[in-house]
Amino acid sequence: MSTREAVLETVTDALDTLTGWSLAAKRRIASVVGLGTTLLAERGLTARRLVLGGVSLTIAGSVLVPLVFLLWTSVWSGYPGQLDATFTLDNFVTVYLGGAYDVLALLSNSLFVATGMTLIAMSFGLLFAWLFVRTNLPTKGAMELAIVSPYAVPAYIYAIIYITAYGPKNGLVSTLLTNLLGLESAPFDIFSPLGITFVIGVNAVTTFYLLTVPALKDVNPALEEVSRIHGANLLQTVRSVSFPLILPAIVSAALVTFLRGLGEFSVVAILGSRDGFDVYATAIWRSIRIRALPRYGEAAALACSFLVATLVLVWYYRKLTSRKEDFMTLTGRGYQPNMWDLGRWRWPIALALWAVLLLVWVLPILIMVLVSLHSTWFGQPDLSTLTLSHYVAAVTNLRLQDAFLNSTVVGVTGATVGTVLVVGLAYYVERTDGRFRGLVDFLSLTPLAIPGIIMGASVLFLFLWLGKVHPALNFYGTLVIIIVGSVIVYIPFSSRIAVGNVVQIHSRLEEAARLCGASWTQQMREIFLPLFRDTTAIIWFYLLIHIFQLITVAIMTYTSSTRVVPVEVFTLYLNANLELVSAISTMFVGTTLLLLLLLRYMGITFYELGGW
Amino acid sequence: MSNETRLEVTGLDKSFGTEFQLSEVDLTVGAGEIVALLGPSGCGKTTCLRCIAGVERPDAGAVVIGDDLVEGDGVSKPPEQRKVGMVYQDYAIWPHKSVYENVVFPLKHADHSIPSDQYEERVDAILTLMGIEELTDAPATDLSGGQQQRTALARSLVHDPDLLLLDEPLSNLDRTLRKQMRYELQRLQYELGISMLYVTHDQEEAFYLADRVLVMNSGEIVERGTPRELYQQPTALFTRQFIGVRNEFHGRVVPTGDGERVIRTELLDFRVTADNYVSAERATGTVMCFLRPEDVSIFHPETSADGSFELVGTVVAEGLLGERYEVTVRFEDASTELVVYAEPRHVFDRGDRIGVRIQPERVQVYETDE
Repeated sequence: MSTREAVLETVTDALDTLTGWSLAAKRRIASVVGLGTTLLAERGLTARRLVLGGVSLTIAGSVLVPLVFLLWTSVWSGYPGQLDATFTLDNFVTVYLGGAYDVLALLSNSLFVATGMTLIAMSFGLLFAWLFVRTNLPTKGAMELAIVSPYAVPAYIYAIIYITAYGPKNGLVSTLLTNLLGLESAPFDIFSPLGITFVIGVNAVTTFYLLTVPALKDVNPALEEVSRIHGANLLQTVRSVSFPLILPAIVSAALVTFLRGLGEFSVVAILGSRDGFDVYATAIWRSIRIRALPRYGEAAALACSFLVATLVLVWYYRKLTSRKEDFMTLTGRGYQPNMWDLGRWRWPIALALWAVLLLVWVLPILIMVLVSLHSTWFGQPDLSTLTLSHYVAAVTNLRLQDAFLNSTVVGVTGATVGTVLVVGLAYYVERTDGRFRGLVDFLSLTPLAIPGIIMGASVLFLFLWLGKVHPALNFYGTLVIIIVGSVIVYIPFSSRIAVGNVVQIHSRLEEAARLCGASWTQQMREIFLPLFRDTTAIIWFYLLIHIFQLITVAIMTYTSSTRVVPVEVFTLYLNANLELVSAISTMFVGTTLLLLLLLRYMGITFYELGGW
Repeated sequence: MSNETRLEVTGLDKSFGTEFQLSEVDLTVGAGEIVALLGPSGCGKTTCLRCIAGVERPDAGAVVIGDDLVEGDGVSKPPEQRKVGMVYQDYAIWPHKSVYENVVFPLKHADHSIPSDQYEERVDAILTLMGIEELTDAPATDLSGGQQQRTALARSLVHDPDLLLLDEPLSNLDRTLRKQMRYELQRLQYELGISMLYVTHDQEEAFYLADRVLVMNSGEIVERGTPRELYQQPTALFTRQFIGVRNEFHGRVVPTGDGERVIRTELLDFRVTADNYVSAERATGTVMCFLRPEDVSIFHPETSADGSFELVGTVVAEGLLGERYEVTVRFEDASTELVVYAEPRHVFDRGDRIGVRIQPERVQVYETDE
């Protein structure tokens, strides 16, 4: 059957369901519609092109358009949406030459935080990954659970957890140590730059661990065996075979972590406020959201220099990961790796690791739970004031209920839209020979260079202008802004999961369907989408979990009617209600953990969520 | 539809970047004919098949299936409009569907004359023909290699396609199964009268199955012929080498005083005859000589007889291979060793003296490029 006949038949069938129309009229409609569709098909405008073209354009647009508005704002003398203004370089002059911002300090602080965070995440992450995957370390199963459980616990909650345990004034460990050793203050300070960096670094360990484990598991043990058989000792083998094999994975994980560190906002905003420690992200946030008169132009100008640096890093990252075998196709299911015997060091190493795990992860969380159960926390447990009142308050608080509802809408809508986009994108990039594949693929990685704060600012500018164009496009003060921004922020990560999994489905399965007479649409419905169902679910849950907890975009764009849970937690902490915040955070962490356990029960592991 | 040709490919070109995959490929498959495309891996034979199926677009050339121009002249029909069946090397059985769902798929989607109430019957019939009727409802992930193979064949045949394309369909099977499927493919072809284009790198498979064999190298068809012709004396040096003769040695063309030409090798000298592929204008130069082990006879050095050309050498390796006894012979002052077959009742030890007798007209001679 030709395309044209098929179309005619479909249209005629559809028209048959209409009653009260004359047969001649139906015929006329059928032939007009049929002709039109056939003409479109002959011009190559098939369903396939429409779907894939639409998705690719949307992604390209959603990455580029906000950036254009950011640039525009940076050289505009008025506020975004103000028509009677002119192009100017004043913003750049004020920011970089006028001394309104200490750009050098911002830069060095950002670099300090990012470098320190990467080093901490890398040393912990690699050490754990190596020991768990490649040695006979005792109790490693339980240790792994302890290290991956904080997956998706957002950084601002980490900050709060650490304040309850190690905070200088009321942190339980700090007060205990001060009393015990008779000191004037705790021997550490998490509000210092080093402390801030440590907290961010610890928060990134899980991600780093999850990114490197699959690479370690995918090392074919035969490659190492051959090296040993041909005379290399253990260390020589590690140096000349194992390490080079996993190096690309380590470097790309480090780059991603570094980029995250450069854009880190919430921990610095919470822990750095005491000493006025600022990085790029907090400075941009301050100039738009904290100042009485928002300095849109200055914030945009400040963001520009940041983006130049990160875009270079992303370009390098893309170069590094463009070879497919080094890419996220690593599943960790490939081989049964060689287990190295730690010998009599097994237990000492295990005990040392448990001590670290306890101090860094387990104990702080337990202390946060303890704090949340006190009516007022004074730095020491007081059994007489134990209460569940903060939990009751959290659940009955109307503002929190609203925020929870908003967050749910943002999470579910964002996850759905994002999933459709990245699945389409992955298909376009991997399964077609479209002309713009390389470009679209690069654009899908570009948001890596744009931290949430800058993305939030950019979509804010975009929507301020859109509102001016037509009242129907005025989304300012709606959840749409937050959804759009959050989806874009997670395009790089979710599209990597999608691309990695499209590669795993052999294209022959689809070709076979075409050869058996199925059209592209039928093939998609019958073969590709059913086979891709699990991955689609993984991407959806990944986006749901992450968009729900994303603070940066929301904090730049929220209004009184669009407050979401992360924003609530943040402002509640700034209003110094540590006990209530602890209760909310406990519930937050608990829910995330339950969801992850549920997913695991459904057969989706942390590794498949991508570890980003 | 014409009765003569089911597939006609003319001038097919395809390159990836600067690398040529196919150049100027012409081929036809007649009604009820099995044509094998034989060549080493990377020679472009699979690319050729994929261009015919429509899952790859050639840079130039035309493909006509039945009477239908499906590629060329500005036309490039999508695979679903080409009325072919195809079996992949890794079978491409859809893992999320049962055997029945896999096989009924072409009936649901392709263009054919079978009414929809007969689908079940049709699938049953074809599964029975394949001998896997008991697997109808089995999930595809439970199938063994041979069963997947049969399912893939059933799927490619169920809608009576004009042409069946097979891409190394047997190479993933073990030896015994391969032999059996080879036989069954011929039986199917006989029972259904279907036309096949069969891609393989295995000459045994090609020669057993095909009515005609096309030998491919570096994107070009270098030789066509019946299996018998190609087996006995192919015209192209590449075919000769690819199809393989155990004994291969260099020679030189040397003109004699009387206007004739002689080929000198380490082992023997002989005249250039019409059977040798040495062009008339080549007066000197190097050539490749091939000699089938079965064309060499052996004798004990003591019982030397006259007649053909005789040499005496030393046994350097011997052993039973399948149904025959293979002996490798080394000669003094020569780097060429000869492999010969002996009756299994012969017994030689390494180091034994052995005589070989060669009939010069059995040596196949080809010009080399230099």
